[in-house]
Amino acid sequence: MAGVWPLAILVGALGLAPGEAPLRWGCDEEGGAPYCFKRPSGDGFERVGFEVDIVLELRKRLGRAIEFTQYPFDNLVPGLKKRDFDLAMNGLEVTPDRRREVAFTRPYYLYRQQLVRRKGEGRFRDYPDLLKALPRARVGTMDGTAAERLLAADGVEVAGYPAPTESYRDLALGRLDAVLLDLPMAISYARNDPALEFAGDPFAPGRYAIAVHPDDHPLLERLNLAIDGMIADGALKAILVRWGLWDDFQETRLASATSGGDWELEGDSDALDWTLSRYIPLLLEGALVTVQLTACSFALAMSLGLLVAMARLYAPPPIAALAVAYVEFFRGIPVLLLLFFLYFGLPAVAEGAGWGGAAGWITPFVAATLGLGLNYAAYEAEIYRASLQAVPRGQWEAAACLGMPRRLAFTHVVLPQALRTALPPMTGDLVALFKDTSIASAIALVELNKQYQILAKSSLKFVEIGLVTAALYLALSLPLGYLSRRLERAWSRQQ
Amino acid sequence: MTTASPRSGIGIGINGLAKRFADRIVLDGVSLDVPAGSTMALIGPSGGGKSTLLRCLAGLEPFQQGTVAIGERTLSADANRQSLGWLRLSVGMIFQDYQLFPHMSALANVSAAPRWVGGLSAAAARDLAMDLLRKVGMDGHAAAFPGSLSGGQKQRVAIARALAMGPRVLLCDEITAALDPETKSDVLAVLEEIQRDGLTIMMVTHEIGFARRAADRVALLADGRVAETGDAREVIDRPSSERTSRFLAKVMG
Repeated sequence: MAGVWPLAILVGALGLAPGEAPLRWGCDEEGGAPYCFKRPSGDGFERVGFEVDIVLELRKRLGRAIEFTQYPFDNLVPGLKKRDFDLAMNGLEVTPDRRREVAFTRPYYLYRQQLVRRKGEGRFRDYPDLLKALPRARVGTMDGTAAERLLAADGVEVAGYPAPTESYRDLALGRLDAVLLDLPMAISYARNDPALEFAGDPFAPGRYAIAVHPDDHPLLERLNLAIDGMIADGALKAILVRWGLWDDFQETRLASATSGGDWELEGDSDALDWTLSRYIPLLLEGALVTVQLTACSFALAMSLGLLVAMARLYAPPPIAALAVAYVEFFRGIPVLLLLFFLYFGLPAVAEGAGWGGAAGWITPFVAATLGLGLNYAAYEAEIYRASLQAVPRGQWEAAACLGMPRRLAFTHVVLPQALRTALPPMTGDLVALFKDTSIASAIALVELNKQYQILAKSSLKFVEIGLVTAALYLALSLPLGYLSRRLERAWSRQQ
Repeated sequence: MTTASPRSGIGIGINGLAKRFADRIVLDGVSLDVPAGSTMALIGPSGGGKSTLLRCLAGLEPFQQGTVAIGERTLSADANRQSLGWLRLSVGMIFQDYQLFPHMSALANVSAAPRWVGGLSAAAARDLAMDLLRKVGMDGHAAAFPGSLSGGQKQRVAIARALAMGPRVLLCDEITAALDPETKSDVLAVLEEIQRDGLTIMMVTHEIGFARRAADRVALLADGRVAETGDAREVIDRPSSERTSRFLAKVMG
C-alpha cells in the first residue's frame, strides 16, 4: 500500500483527474524509423518517430497521460487482447483478420508497399516483373506485416526479419533478391542507401490505424474524435510532412478514409482459408528444415567435439590449452549471440578481410548449422573427455602389450568403449539441440518454430496451429529418445 | 618341474635394472637370468617391486638404469620407440584384472592383434584365435562378451590373447589373485599346459605351493632387490637368507 501515495502525488502533480490511470501504448521500438525508435541525444537516447509525435498530440486532445510500453511488433494484437496495454499503434496494418480480433480507429496514415532492389539489378523492374522473371526469388520483409502475407499469397519465398535494417542489409549483401516493406520504412532506410534503389511505384495500399480492445468502445470513440480533429486542423498533416511521409495519396485519400469498407487490401489474407490442409504442408516443410538443421549441426558438434576432447587429453600443452579455451568460450556465450554474429557479423568481417564473397554462402542455414554446431561441440567435447577418461588405463596397456600403436589402441579399443559411456548424455544433448534449433528463427531461417510463428500470426490461430506444431516436435523427439534407450540397452547387454 | 627346453640360451636377462618413481626407488639394481623355456616365479612382500619389474619387461614402464634382454636382443634404459614395439611383440602380458576388451567377444579379443597388428586376414586371425581358445578350454565361449564370463573364464581368454602374437616370453602378474580356489586351479592348469610349449615364463605369484610345483626357479624380491634366487624347491624348502625365511614363514602361516 505504501507505493500508492507517491503515485497519487505524481498523478495529482500532472493535473490529471484521479482515477484516470495513464493509457498504456503498446509499441515496438526495435521496429525502427520512422514509426517509433531511439535516437542518440546528448549522453543518452530519446524516443522519436511520427507515431511519437501523434501520441504527443493525442495526449493533448484526450487530456490523459499516455505511457510507452515496449512490446514485440508481431505480438501487438495478442498483447492487446490480453490487455497488456490499452492501445496499439506501431504501423499496425488494418487487415480483416485483425479486425476480427481487435477494434481499429480511422486511419492516421495510408501505407503502400515499396519493392526495393540492389542498385543496377537487371533482372526485374517492379513487383509483377519480379514474380514473372524470378519464380524462385527470395524476398525479405518483416515478420507479421501485410507485406509478408502478400508475398506468401503470391507464393514467393519469404525471409521474415524482426526489423527492417537487417533485411535491407541482407539485400545489399546479396542474400536476398529484393525487399518488400511498407513505404515509410523504405523511405527511412533504403532511399538514401547508395547500394539500393526503389523498384517500381508503391502499390497494395492499406491503412495504419490505432487498435484497441474490442470491448473498449469509449476509448475507440475518443481516439476517433481526436484523429478527426487532427485531420481537420492540419496537425496530422504537419506531423507527416515533417517526417517526409505526406504524399499525393494521403492528400487525396486520408481525409475520407474510414476504418474499413471502402477498399480492401490487395492480396489480403482474408481471401485465404486457414484450414488444416493449408498449413500442415507448410509446417511439415518447416519440420524438414528443423530435422536437417539438427542432423547437420549435431554431426558437426560430434566430430568437432571429439577433436577438441582429443586435443585436450592427448595434445601438447599449448594445443590442449586452446581446447580448454574453446570449451570455456563456447559454453560461456549465448547461442543466440553466436547466431547473430555468424549471420550478420561474419560477412562484415569477411569483407574487411577482402573476402567479399563470403556473404553469399553464409545463408541462414549455414550460419545456424555453424552456430549450433560450434556451441554444442563444447558440450560434446566435455562428454567425450569424461568418457575417454573413464576407460581404465589398463585398457591402453593391454593394447600396448599386444603391439598396438597408440592410434590403433585409441580407435579400436578406447574410443569404442568411451562412445558407449557417452551415448546417454549425448542423446540428451541431441534432443536438447533438436529443440534449440528454434533459435535459428531469429536469423530468418524458416524452420518449424518460425513457420509456426508466421502461420499463427497470419491466421491468429495461436492455439490450433500451436498444438499441431507441438505434436510435430514430439513426434520427432520421442522416437529419438526411444531409439537411444534401445541402443543403450543393446550395448549394455554386450558387456 | 624342469622340462626339456626346445630352445637353448637366454630367455630373459635382466642386468642392473634400476627404476625410480620421482625420488622413490622401486627397483635397485635387479639382475636375474631366466633360461629359455623355463619358468621363474617372483615372490616377495607387497611393494617389493615384483609388478614393476614385470611392467619394465613388458615395456610399460621406462627405467633409469640397466638392461633387459629378451632372447638375443638387449634393451637399455634409453630405448627408442621402435625397440619398445619390438619388446612388446616378443612378450605377452597377463594382468591380475584381465583387461579384456569389454566391447569385443572372446574371439575378437584374441584375434584383434593378429588381425590389426600382425596383418592376418580375417579368416586366418579367426582360425588362430579359435585354436588358442581351444587350448585354454574356452572355444565353447568364443562368441561370449567378457561381461558374461566368470573371472576364471576371463583369465583363460586373457591367456589366449597374450599368446596371440606368438611371444617368446609370457609375463603373468598375479593372474590368480582375484579368483576363487576352484577357478584358480583351472587357470593354473592352463599355465602348466603352456609351459610344455617351451615358452619362457616369468610370473608374480602369492601361490607358494604352485610356485614350488610349477616353477623351475624362484626369486624373492624385497625392497627393490633380489634377496635370494635359486632352484624353486630348494629356495622354498630350505631358504638360505633370513629375509626369505621371514617372508615364507609369514605367507605359509
